[in-house]
Amino acid sequence: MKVHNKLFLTGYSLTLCFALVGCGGGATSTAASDDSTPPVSKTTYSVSGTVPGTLIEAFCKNGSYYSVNSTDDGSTNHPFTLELPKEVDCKFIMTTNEKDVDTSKHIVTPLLFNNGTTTSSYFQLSDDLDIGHVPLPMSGEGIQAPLTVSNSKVQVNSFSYDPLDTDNDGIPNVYEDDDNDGVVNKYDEDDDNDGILDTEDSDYANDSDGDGIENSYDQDDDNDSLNDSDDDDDDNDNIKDTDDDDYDSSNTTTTTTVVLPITYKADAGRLLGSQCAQCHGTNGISVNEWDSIAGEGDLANEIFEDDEPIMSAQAHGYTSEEITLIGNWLKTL
Amino acid sequence: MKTTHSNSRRDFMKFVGVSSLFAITPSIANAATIPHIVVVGGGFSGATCAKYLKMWGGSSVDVTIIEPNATYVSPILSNLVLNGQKTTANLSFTYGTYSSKYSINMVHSTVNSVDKTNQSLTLANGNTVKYDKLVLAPGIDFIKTNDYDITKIPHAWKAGEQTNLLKAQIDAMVDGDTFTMTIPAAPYRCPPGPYERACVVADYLKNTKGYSNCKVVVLDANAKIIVEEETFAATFASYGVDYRPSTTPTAVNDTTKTVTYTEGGTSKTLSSTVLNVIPNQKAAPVIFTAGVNSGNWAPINPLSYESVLNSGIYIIGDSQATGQPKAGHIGNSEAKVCADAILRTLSGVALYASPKTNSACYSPTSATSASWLTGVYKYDATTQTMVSSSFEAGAPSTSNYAKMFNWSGNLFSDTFA
Repeated sequence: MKVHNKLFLTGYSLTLCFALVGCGGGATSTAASDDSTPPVSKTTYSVSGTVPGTLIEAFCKNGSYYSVNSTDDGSTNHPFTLELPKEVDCKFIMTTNEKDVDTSKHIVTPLLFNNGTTTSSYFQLSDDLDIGHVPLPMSGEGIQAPLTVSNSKVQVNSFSYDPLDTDNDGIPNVYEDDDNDGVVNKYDEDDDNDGILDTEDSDYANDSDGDGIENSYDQDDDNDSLNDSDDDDDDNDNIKDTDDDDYDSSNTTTTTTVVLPITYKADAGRLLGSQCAQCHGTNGISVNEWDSIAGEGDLANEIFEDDEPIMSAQAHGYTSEEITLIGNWLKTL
Repeated sequence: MKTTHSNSRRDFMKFVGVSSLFAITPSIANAATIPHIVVVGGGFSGATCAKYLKMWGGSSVDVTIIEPNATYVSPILSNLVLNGQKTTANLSFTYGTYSSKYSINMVHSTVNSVDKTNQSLTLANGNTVKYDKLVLAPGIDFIKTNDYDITKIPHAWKAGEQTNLLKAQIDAMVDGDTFTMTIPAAPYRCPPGPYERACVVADYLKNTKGYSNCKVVVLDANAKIIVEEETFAATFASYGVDYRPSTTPTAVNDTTKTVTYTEGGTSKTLSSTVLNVIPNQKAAPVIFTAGVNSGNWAPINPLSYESVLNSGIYIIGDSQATGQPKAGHIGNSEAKVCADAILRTLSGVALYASPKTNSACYSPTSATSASWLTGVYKYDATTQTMVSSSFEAGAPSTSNYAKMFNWSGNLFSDTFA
């Protein structure tokens, strides 16, 4: 469901942060140096290339979905461009003969990406990417062998558990044919052939688009390319969410994200200090009137001077060396 | 419905690897696959572990939670549902924001089998999930004296529907009725919890309902009040709670609402308007399915929470066998030690040699007062166990009652937000 708030605020504060960091930081950015406009933090990047006449679909690990048809420019290599969210793992399915009304005649090709070290169906963007020409098969029917795109610049992540392909056979759940009736789930209005349309079937109530990610965790419940935070009709039943009593109201607002690290670095102070979070909040940021301790500059004294008996009971369980380790970590927050 | 077949997924497998674009590349074996850590159970221990694995390990690990319920109801504070100060909705947590914030895969299903050789789980939904490290945080299971209907004799020791059932039964009581609860033999989930419940219910009947003739009977399988003895003994006395230690239930009858128990070698039967039997406890079923139990619980190495019976499988929270109490706060605490140990192991870094955990619990003793209990546990290298390094209790007060919500608020947030 669409909710008009936060987005703008978030965008504003991000820009502001960036500007402040820019003032204090060194000259690390070379882009747009001849431009007085502050750098804008991009949330999407484009992936482009050329294909035969093709439907290009991206299925992403957070449940979001994007698609575009290639542009017929008269040549055999039709260009396409698709905007995808930054640093989200997505996979491509490309369909030729996509205009045939008999969907069993569609020629469906999953892509694999190889960057020299890793091969996987999942890639993610932290910059625009041109994958060149993809020579998709033009004959055959149904699911084809995957095509591998080799590109050393692309971030490729391989997962042993793939929520979008739960049997791990290389075919996304939406392109499986669960009831073996010759119509893949994506185009089948009754995936399990029980005589109840999927839209009315309680078996599919938790996963409207059948992509394998339950609606509560799916950024795009109906795979209509509109993320639920921008979609007036999350389950695509033509009843607006405001009038609909059966859509999943999760993912309707843009949520705050945290910056996750790329790699793990052991830190004894952080491990010990994380044990303060039960009472003082994650990373020392309390959600109520109890003290936030992030940035605490004098833990060694503060921890014993606290007038809460439960705090001093805890404090006496730690050595001064441990308190120093915790205090040093808190100063970094 | 069409009957013509396109290429089936079986035919497809024959073609794998045939065509490629710029280069022929192997598409099956892949050394760079991101380690997959599966956490079974999304309660205080499991949700904390998954969150901290991603918060500290980031994109170097892929984390999936397998949890049967889409909504978790906290047992912490759930005695306040009984006296109407909270609802189970107030204590409910979902995983939508949480999972997208930390990029955690959520699967709502249960584990049917554990294949330790191939490191994979078979789920009730039919899917197979492979793991590189397996964290089991499944909570507790009950050891009932006999087969009886828990909708008639609720335990209310896993929060949710059971809590509301017990509340409805208490609310149906009239003056002169009897509320009887049984306290299981230690170890069980939340040591002060049953004593706290007896106080809250006695206070509710007497002071909220105004029933001066209701009886509250406590049958304790333990020889004495096992925590905060002074606090609970004094509070029981003030409410006139009939406390009977060393009483072991042997049979429960849901038709007659009676409990049969032994006391001093004699078998007795007690009838009660409301009967709240909290059975003895053991580790949850998946611990036995995985074969990582020794007796009723799962022995682990406290430096990592890795099973001493199976490497690569970790057990945190109520199911593990250390002497640390079984409760949500310390489950959260253990989860961080476990998450850090798994990340160290995956990174080839030695385990942290002297981890600390802590326990804290505020217990309501009436609608306006609460006591507290807290402890710090340190690793003792000689015995290779967690031992108490500081332990204190605070007497009931109205100010502690207010602070109880600061404690639970940050604990809930550190776990589920």
